[in-house]
Amino acid sequence: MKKQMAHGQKEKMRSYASIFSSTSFARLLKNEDFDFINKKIERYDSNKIGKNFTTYSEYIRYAYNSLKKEYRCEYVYKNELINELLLKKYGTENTVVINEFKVGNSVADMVLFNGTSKAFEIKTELDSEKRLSGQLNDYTKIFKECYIVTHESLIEKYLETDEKIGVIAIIKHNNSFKMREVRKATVSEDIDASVLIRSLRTQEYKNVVMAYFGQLPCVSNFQMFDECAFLMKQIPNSELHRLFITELKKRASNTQLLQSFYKELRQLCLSLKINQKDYQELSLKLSQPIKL
Amino acid sequence: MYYPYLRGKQFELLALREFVEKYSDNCKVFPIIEPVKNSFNSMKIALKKLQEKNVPYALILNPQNGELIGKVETILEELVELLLDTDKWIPAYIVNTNAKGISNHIQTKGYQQVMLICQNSVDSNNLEFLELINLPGITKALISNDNRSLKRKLDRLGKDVIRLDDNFKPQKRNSDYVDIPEEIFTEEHRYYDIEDKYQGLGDYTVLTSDFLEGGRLPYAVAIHLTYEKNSDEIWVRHFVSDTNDDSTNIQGKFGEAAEKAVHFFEQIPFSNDSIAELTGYYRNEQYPGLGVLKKISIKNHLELMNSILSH
Repeated sequence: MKKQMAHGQKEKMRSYASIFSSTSFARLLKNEDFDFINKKIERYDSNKIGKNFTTYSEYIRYAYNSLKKEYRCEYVYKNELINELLLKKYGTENTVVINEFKVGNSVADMVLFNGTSKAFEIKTELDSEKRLSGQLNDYTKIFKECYIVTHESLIEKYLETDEKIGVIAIIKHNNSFKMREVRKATVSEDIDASVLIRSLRTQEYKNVVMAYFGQLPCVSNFQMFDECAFLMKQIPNSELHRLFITELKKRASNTQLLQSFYKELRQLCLSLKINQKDYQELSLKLSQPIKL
Repeated sequence: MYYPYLRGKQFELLALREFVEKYSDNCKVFPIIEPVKNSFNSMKIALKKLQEKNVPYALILNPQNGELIGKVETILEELVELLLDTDKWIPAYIVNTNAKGISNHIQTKGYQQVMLICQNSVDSNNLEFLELINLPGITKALISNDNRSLKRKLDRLGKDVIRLDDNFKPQKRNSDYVDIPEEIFTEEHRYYDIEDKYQGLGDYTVLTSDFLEGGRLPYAVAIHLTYEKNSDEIWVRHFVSDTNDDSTNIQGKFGEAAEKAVHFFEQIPFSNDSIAELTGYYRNEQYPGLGVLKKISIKNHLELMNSILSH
């Protein structure tokens, strides 16, 4: 951020960012608990009710847009990644997006499977790049394409990382923000079976072995993991990539529904794995006028 | 009598059901259940089983944890058919600084036999609290051993006083139990009645008294089993897996932990239904899931306490 934000303003933005919390929204969905939003309105915005916003969904849009302008936290990046890249560029047909995917000793912020596999690591202006090389090192062990997602002011810095790693940036464009692919990731065919098996669920690694060898090893459940890990190492890289993508695309996902959700809440809906019915309920609740 | 304090979650209730199925004829266990879930299915099945087997229980009407805080009417409505017969169960209340509200509720409902679970924030000189314990409907009170003057007051009023101990010492991570193969759990079963003049003793079984929700896949599998050691002490032994560096291969980890448990109980030698069930999974090389492991740990403790109080 160019100018140093005044302390009070920063506090306010932090407060706005905390609205987009999955625990709070899960609670809102379960009970009628608007407390976490009401507190923010009371503290900062009660005089704007009826002018800038009337309903809860309008307030959420207001808070989100403020964040987008002044305090781009991880939530904003993830949400824009969904809005700008996933929905506009990649398309959701045949695509599965997963939040927080465990790879080796790291957790990728967002991963995507369609014909290929992509991992995204978000580095906002508020983040430090500590751990970045370790994270990317983990992701490249099983993903074909890996990206850093960052702010336009940091493009130069992140272009200096490994050339195979793609860079995507949030870019200001005529008063709005766009996501642009600054550098395309190099597609890698390497894959580390021993890291991969640890990112898969039991049924998934059994399916991978089954699909390639036509049968499971004749060992007990207690030895199944070790035996499957051994067998998976013998599967050729390109084939293992394909089987990995096939399995992950079977995971229950609401990726197809994302388009129909409130633009500001898509990332929340993804991380809460919200279905159509829950969404309707949530949307009904949020369309109510603000009541303090 | 032994009073296990259990939260009304799926595997706690399953442990209870399986326990009464087998031991109802000679039951020294009086369960206390704190409802914590919006969905009442497991609760209904368990309470039905308790009633069918004529095992009385206490149901907490003002849960302080989970999804039913403040929802006494929901609890009573959902379970209405099971609660009709007031010989089969008694209402229980958790008391902290809410004595007045509890007194009102008991009087409105006209309950004749009530259990109080006194938390340490209870001030035994508080007027509203004194009014509460003076209600004739109060028959049983659970207190921690630290509150001697409260015990004296309740004794004088002729209430059944039961000590509630928080025996299980939780570690942050399951792998932390690696360095604690076993520890003493309690020896109060020797002293609570004749020496200390309590009418019963209670605990949170092999679970922590803190209310914990969900949790992620652990790095280590730990199976906590109580047993009788040195003829008259109860110890808890922690059987922990060996490969604990990440959350993968939970089946293999179960195998490692179960092997230790099975060998240990073969050598004592000691068995009961719970140990036999665990041995079965181990021999068949079958991983039953973490919920079932919790059920086995709880059921084993119920079986142990029941058998100790029976002889």
